[in-house]
Amino acid sequence: MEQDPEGYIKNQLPLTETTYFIMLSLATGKKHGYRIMKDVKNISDGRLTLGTGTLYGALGRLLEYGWIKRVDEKQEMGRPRNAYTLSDLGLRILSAETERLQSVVSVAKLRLADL
Amino acid sequence: MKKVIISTLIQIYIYLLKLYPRHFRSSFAAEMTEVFTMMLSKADQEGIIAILKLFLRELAELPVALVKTYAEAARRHTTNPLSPVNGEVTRNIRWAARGLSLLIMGFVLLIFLFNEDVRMTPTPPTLILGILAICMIIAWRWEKVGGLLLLLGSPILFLSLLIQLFASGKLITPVWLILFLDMCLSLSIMIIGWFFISAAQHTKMELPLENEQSHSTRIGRRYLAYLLVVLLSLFVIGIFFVSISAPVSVEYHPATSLPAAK
Repeated sequence: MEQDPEGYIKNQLPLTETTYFIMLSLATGKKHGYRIMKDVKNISDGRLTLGTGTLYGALGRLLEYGWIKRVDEKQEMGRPRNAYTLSDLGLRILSAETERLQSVVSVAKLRLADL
Repeated sequence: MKKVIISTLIQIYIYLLKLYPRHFRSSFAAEMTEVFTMMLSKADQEGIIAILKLFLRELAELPVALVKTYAEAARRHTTNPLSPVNGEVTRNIRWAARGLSLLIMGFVLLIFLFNEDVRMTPTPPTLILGILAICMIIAWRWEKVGGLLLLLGSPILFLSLLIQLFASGKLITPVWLILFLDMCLSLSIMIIGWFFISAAQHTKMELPLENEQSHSTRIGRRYLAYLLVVLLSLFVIGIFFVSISAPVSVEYHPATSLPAAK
């Protein structure tokens, strides 16, 4: 049962908070695990602290779905380490989820303004 | 002292990683250990309490992470975590479910058509079996809903057959054989339900295909499928009601001068 790309993206929404923040962290460029962890904590105002199990469980799923890609990140010393970056599909899903959240916020603001 | 604690915690962490599925470990264990070591050295600057807090947080998170990882592994049916979901596998699961459901539906149809006892006195198990046959037709179009109904219905069928069997007290064949047959039927339905749900899950995860059939063709196929499901449902419901409402033949009983039901 093949799906069109728009239908596929729509089927994946809403994203979990963890997935959304990890993808949002990768939107600014490739990052390795520890940097993703720190970035997610920063952009969520310290509210979301990922453990290694949660982070790599989510990264494994995102790799499987093809929403992110694994790339090598060169280090000044030692062997290159794995880093992750958003794929085109991942970027489209992230944009779709952001639009969805934006529309929810707009509706909420309108409703609250009426009070 | 702190160094000893840190190296011990790393050793424990490496040991705990062995609880994850093998394919997950081969992909991520080294990286996870590296990240955990970096987290520990950061916490080291804040003192021993921060180190212990970090380790306890990792421990608390472990059960949920393990359950999620194993659930994902079970869903994927593949040993390579980096491979995309295979469309061929989805098709195979779907057609296996459909083929098996056809067999069971044929079996149910035969029971209703040729077994006079079932037609004359429809019991709860036969009614449940008829409903499950309709659920199978529903699952052809709405895989998740149909599959879920089949999963929920199969234990009910098993229990109802069991209750009917022991309540009637007509145990001609050995009990173990009857139990085995009851279990086989219920398990087959459960497996079919699980196959339908798996096919639905796999489809959701399939990557989109850019060069696929046109929108109008898809809409046409969708309505054709709806029509087919409605027609098949009506057909099964019709056969079911015709068979259970078949007239009871009456013959004259000379001893009592009253008509006796056969």
